[in-house]
Amino acid sequence: MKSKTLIVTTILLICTFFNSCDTFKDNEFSNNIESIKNLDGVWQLKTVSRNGIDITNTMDFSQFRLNLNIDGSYTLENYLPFAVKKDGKWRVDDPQYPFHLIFRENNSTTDVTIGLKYPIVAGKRIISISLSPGCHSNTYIYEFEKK
Amino acid sequence: MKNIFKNIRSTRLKIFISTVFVLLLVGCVFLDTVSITQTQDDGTQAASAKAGTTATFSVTGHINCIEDHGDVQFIFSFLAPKSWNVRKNAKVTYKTTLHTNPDEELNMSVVPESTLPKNGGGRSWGEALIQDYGVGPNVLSDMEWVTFATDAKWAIFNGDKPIYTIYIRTNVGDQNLKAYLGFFINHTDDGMSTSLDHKKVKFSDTPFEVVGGKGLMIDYSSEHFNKVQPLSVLQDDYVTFSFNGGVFQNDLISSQEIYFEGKAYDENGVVIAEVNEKSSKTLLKKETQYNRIYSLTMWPASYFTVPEGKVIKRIEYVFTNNDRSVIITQSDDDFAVKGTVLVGEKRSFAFEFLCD
Repeated sequence: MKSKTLIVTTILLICTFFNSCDTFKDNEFSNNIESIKNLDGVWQLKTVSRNGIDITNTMDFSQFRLNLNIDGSYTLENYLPFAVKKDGKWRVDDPQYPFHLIFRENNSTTDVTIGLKYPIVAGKRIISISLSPGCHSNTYIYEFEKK
Repeated sequence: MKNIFKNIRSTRLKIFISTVFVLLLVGCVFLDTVSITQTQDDGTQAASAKAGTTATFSVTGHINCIEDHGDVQFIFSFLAPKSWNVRKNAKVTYKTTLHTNPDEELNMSVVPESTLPKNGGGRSWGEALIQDYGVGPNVLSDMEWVTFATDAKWAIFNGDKPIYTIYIRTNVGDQNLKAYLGFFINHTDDGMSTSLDHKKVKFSDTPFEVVGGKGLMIDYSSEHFNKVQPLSVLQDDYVTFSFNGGVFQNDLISSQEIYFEGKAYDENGVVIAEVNEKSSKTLLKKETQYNRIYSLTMWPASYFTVPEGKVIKRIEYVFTNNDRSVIITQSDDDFAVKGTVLVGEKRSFAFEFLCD
C-alpha cells in the first residue's frame, strides 16, 4: 500500500515538473524588437565621482542641468565642467542600444562623443557619463536623473 | 567511554594531519628583497632619479613549490605615482631559474583592466590591490597599482625551488616628488585569493625621490598640514584642498570655523584673482567625525572667476579662522615636519597646476 502511494506521488510530481514549464516557439522570440531608448528630457546631475571616489557631498553639483530637447538641440544650465561648453545639437549612436552620446556645439563642425550608460536605479532611469574635462588623468562619472 | 575518547583523539589527529598537509601544500611564493637605488652622477647609489629619466627597480624572490601547476603565469604589480603613467611607460622583464637560460630576461606585459583575477571577487587587479593594500605607507592616494603577467606560461612542479628577479624600467616623469614604491607578486592560478601563501607584498624601506623636475616637491610619504587631491589637475578639474588638523599641534583646529584663502596666478606669475572672504564659499567642511581633516572642493576656474583666455598655473593658499587670528602656512608645516625655524615672513602653501 505504502509503495503504491509512493509511486503515484512520484508520477504526479514528475507530471507537475514537466508541465510547469511553458513552451515557446522560436519565432515568438524573433518578433521581440528592442525599444528605442528615450533620452530626451531634463537631466539633473545627482552624483559625481572622481577617479572612482564619490565626491557628491563635497560641493553643490545639483544645480547643473542637461536639457536634451526632443528636437535634437541641447542646452546646459548652471554650467559645471562638462564635455562641451556651449549649447548645440545632440544625438545617440544607436537609438535602440545607445552607448555614446554625441554633442555638436553651435557653430562647430566637430562632434564630441562621450561614453554613456543608462541603467535603472531604484526604479528610475539614470544616465551615467564618463568624462575628463580637466587633466586627462582624472576621470569623472556624472550620473543624471530625469526631472 | 574509552571509545569516545579514542574517537575524539582520532578526529583531532585527522584535523591536525589535514592542517599540516594543507600548510605543506601552500607556502609557495616569497618576495625577498626590493632595490630602488639608482647610480648617481658621482657613481654613488641613492634612492632618487632625475626627472624625465628612466629608473630601474628590481625585485628578487624565490618559490618553494609543493604542488603542481601547469600553464600558470606569474603576476607582478607595481605601486607608483599616477603621474609616472606606468601602464604606458614601464618595461617589465624577469629572469628565473625555471628557464633553461636563467640569465635571459623574459618579458612581462600589462594585464588589461578587463582581465580579472581568478579569486578577486569580481574586482580588477588594480581595484583588488588598492582595496587590500591601499597605497602602503604613503599618505597621498594619487597612486596606482599596475599589474603585469609573464608572457610565457609555466609548468612548475612539487619540489621545484626556482629563484627569480624582476626588473622594472620606467620613466619617472617630470614632477618632483617623494613616494614609497610598492611591489606585489602572485600567480594566475591563485588570482588574489585570501591565502597569504601565494602572494606577497613589500614596500620600499625609504621613499624614492624624483628631483630636478617641474613644480614643487610633492611629498606622498609623510603627513603634512595640507593635502591637495588629485595632484595632476587643470583649472577645469574638481580640486580638493584639505587641512589636516590632527597631524601636528596647532591652534587652528580648536576654531569653530576654518576657512580657505587663496590667490590664483597665471603662467607669468600675475595674480588672476584673490578669494579671501569668509563665507560658505571658503568654509572648509569636516570630512568625517572620526578625523580632524577639513576640506574644500572647488572648480578652480569658477571659484577664482577666471576670465576667458586666462589660465591658472599656480595657487597660493593658507588656512585661517574667521578673524584671521590664527593662520596655518607652509612655514608652520616646515616647522612641524622638519623643525625649520621661521625666518622673515610666513610663506603660503603653493600648488601648481600640472598635467602630463
